[in-house]
Amino acid sequence: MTTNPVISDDLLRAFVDGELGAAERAHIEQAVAADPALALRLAREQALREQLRMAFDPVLDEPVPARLAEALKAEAAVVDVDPSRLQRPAANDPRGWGWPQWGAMAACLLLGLFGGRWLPWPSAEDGLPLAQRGGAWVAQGPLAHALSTQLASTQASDAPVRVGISFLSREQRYCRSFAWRGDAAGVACREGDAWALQVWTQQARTASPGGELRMAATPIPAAVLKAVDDTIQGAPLDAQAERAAAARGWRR
Amino acid sequence: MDSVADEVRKEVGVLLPRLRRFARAITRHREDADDLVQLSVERALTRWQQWQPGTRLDSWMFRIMKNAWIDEVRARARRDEVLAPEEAGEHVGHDPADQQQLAMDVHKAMAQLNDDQRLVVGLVLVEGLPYKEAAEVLDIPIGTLTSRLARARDALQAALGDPANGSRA
Repeated sequence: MTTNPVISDDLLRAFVDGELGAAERAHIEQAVAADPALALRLAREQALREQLRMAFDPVLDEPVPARLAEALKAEAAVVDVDPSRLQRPAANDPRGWGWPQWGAMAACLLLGLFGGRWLPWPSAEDGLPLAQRGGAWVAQGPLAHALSTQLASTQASDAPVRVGISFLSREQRYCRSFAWRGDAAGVACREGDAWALQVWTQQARTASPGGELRMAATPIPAAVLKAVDDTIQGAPLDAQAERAAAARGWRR
Repeated sequence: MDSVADEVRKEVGVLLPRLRRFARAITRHREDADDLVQLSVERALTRWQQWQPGTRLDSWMFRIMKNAWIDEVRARARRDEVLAPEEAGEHVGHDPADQQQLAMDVHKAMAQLNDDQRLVVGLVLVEGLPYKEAAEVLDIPIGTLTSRLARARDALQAALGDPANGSRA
């Protein structure tokens, strides 16, 4: 067998990658037709691309995880530090991402509901839509009302509570993610006639040069997204299922 | 709400499956891949002003992902974290059985490349970016891109055998 010295590997690969102009393409096609060894080299290059395609293209057909769709819904924020990443237990999860390099600031107060221990509330801000009941925190007032009645599919864009997604938990309870007045977010699950908080995060507010309050991070922080991913069973409810669940008072 | 921001949000949503595919190509762990996509989406939404309408949004996103990934790789090096490559099977989704072995072989071969090589393979061979576009994403001259790509191809072909001959290494 002979190899065509004129057609280098680089040229052949550029051909396979669609990088050549019409004249060069025609030249290579002619050479391949006349040279079986060259045709074999070409087939080998094409096969590699095909193998990669077959290995990675199935990802395109996978459902996109809820947390990625949620991340997209977040309002454009002014700071791209996500403090909740700092709280990921890197030591227990050797494959987890520690992100220590982004630890410049920790603006997020995360109430450790999953850990079973509450951190003290730093500032008794008026109008907090939470109440403690039997050792758990439940939504109250406008937050409770919105969680019970507001549909993600029809809510106003400037509503004080923005419902993210509604889903069924592994314990077969209805749960909803939400953002509260743009600086807090959480996940609450239906327990009896109450909405029990699974996670609540509040972001520090910083005054912008213009004096207005701006958010320190996205309103749907990673801690909330993680709580959704950790508790969700199956896919989020679609608009129709959400409406039906609300009509049943969020009972199974 | 700014219309460009909305456009970025919408288009990034359309790109999510490709961003996940690219992430799967350049990371070695399935969990890392979606973490990388999530972080990159979050970064993109805070920096949408930096995207110039009329330019390729996919390239812009790949660039953000590349930077986020390099940050992470460097952070790991600093921590002297030595991660064993995952079992190849962990990367495999729900492929039909006949494709599964091939996919596992490919993931295993990819895991043997270095990070720079995986980036060029991900951009050019998996995502189909033109050389010029890929070189801009990576901030390297085209000559550097093509030589990296050539070495990566040599390594992949050595690991995968020669399917044109029907044999497998």
